[in-house]
Amino acid sequence: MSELAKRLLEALRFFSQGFRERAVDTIEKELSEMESSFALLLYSSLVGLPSPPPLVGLSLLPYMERELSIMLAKSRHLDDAWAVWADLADI
Amino acid sequence: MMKRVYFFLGKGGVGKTTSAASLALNLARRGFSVFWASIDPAHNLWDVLGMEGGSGVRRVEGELWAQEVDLEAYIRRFLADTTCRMKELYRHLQILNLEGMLDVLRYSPGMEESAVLFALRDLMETHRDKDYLVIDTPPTGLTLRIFSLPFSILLWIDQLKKWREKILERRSIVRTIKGKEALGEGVAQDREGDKVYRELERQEEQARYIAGLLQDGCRVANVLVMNQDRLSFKESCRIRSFLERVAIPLRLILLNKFGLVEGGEIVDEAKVVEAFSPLPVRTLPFVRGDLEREDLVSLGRGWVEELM
Repeated sequence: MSELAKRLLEALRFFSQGFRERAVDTIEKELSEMESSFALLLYSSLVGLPSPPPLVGLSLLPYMERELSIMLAKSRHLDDAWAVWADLADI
Repeated sequence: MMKRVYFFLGKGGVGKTTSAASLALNLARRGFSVFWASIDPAHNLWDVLGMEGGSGVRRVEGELWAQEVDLEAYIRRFLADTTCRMKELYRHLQILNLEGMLDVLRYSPGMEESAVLFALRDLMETHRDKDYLVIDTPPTGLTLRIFSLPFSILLWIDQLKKWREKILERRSIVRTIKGKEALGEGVAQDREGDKVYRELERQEEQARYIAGLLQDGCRVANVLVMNQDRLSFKESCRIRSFLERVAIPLRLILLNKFGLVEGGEIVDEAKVVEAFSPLPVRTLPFVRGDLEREDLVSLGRGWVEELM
């Protein structure tokens, strides 16, 4: 009986971990979108969108390596909609 | 301890530099220490004084010091500093051609206004021991953009900070669930540790300081200079409306070159007084020929006291 309970508990823990990771995956994807958008917001004048005064964007530029890398990676794959879809669907 | 900062605003060619010279000389001759600076990219401060200048600080007479501020130098210094910090911090510099970027950005829209903000902060800091700071501004278009820049920066930073807080919140969730290594090395999860957030706060503080200064009628006195012609009058009305929108007070209207304009184009004094009521309007007579230093001092009669 105790063996069965142990296995059940293990299975539950396994499912719970899976759900948690799935939930974090979604937050991570959301995070990378937000980081990319943050960079796009700051340097959007380069693609013709309204942007903050250059003073703000330039002052932040030295600390924007991560966000810029994410933005550039995303823009490289913009024409690859299937890959993005497959990534979202975790295939 | 600085008592007040004066800004001279108005359409190009109405006599902002002449009026500013008159105030600066009159204050200095009353025994005050004065710093007179031109932030107009097309300076003529030394021409008005009949002196040979350059971009350095020079003593005009007594405790009056003057400078034609080199805005290009501020842009160069800011871009060089940014490039230097980027070279220290970026691991993958191949994504950006920094030297090329520097050259392009130097002439980008908005850089000149930003340079004026740096210059203003610098002037306030460097000359805080002076009694008065007199600032000769560029013609209307650029000046209004300069005056609106701190407010525009504050609006953007407010939104950017909110966006950044959401990012940090999500980073913190991911870190809590997946552990320290999930986001990579050196990725901040809180406001204190995030250099972007801290830089936003630094920019916000500086913009708030300038915006607060411009709106403070005790520390700043804005003088609007105009002539009697229709175009100068119309433009002055627009300057006043703009300043009202951003809650920057005007202290005095100077009707310069009074008596020069004749005929159908003339805007008489009564119309100016009515349009700018309840602000005081003072006239400065038109003087034919080159103005000597003593002429500049005489031009200050009847309005300099009101500004002290």
